[in-house]
Amino acid sequence: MDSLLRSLAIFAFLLIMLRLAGQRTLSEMTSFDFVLLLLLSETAQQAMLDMDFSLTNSLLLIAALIGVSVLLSIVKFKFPRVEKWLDGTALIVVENGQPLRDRMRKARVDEEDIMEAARELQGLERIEQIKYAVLERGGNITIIPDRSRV
Amino acid sequence: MTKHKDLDLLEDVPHQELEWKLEWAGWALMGVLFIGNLLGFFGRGLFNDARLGEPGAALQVDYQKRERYKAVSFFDLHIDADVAGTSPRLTLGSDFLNKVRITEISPEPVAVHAGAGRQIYQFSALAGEPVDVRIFYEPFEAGFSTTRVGLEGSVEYEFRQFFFP
Repeated sequence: MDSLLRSLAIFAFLLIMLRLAGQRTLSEMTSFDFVLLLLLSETAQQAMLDMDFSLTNSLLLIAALIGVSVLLSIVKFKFPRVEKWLDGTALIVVENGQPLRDRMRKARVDEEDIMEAARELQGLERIEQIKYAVLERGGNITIIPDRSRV
Repeated sequence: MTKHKDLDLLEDVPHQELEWKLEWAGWALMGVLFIGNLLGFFGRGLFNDARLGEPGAALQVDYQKRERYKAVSFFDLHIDADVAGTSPRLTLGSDFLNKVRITEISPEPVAVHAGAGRQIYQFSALAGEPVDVRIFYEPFEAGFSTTRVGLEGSVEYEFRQFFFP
């Protein structure tokens, strides 16, 4: 039970920490993010397993973690409020070619991030060609072009 | 949550504003934890070091007020030359011993005796010289410990330690 409680505590803590890091942190992974992910997993693993490296303990913890993940997905489906808190919400950051600077500042998204998505996804050249840019829950930016200006 | 006027998207700007405020609060808390860690609140350092016994006392104990589960740490005990004799006997209370594993004692005691609610460690010492003992231990239970350390026939100290999970 000890290792199960530790694992659940680490799962909850990592979830809270990654939510506190903001949506942009979860989007495209840079080499820094990759290193961070590796270190996080190593640190978490030590605390979860403690000195119990038995097959039984590992299997139990794997089952518990996946079980929690399934349980959370059911809870999110039944309670949209919970989903909002666990996954966040989408946010419009450009509307009719106008960047919504206050939202962009708070979400730590700059114009270059938006234009990168615009070029990559839609081949757009200028911000005025964007009808809507949406910062999605996963931290990526989706672009809806203004058809009249493309 | 409101639907945007011409985009099929559920937006919740008030919730997002609240989330940003909580993010800032979370970052401030992380900063506090980081600084606390640097200052030794969770381990060795400024806010954690403690000493019992004045200079010249029969026994002085240097210890950490807070330790971490399964992290090896140590006490330093200094026995005054005037009281040490050639066979000083140090005592450790059971409440502490029930929560930790003693991994090493330096110098090694020549004998260990079990007493009522304590263990007694006997050392061999040179006459007229102070004795310094370092006891390494590893907490295996989280929570508070009432730690009693003493010199048999002389002084005993009691102090609280907290072992972080």
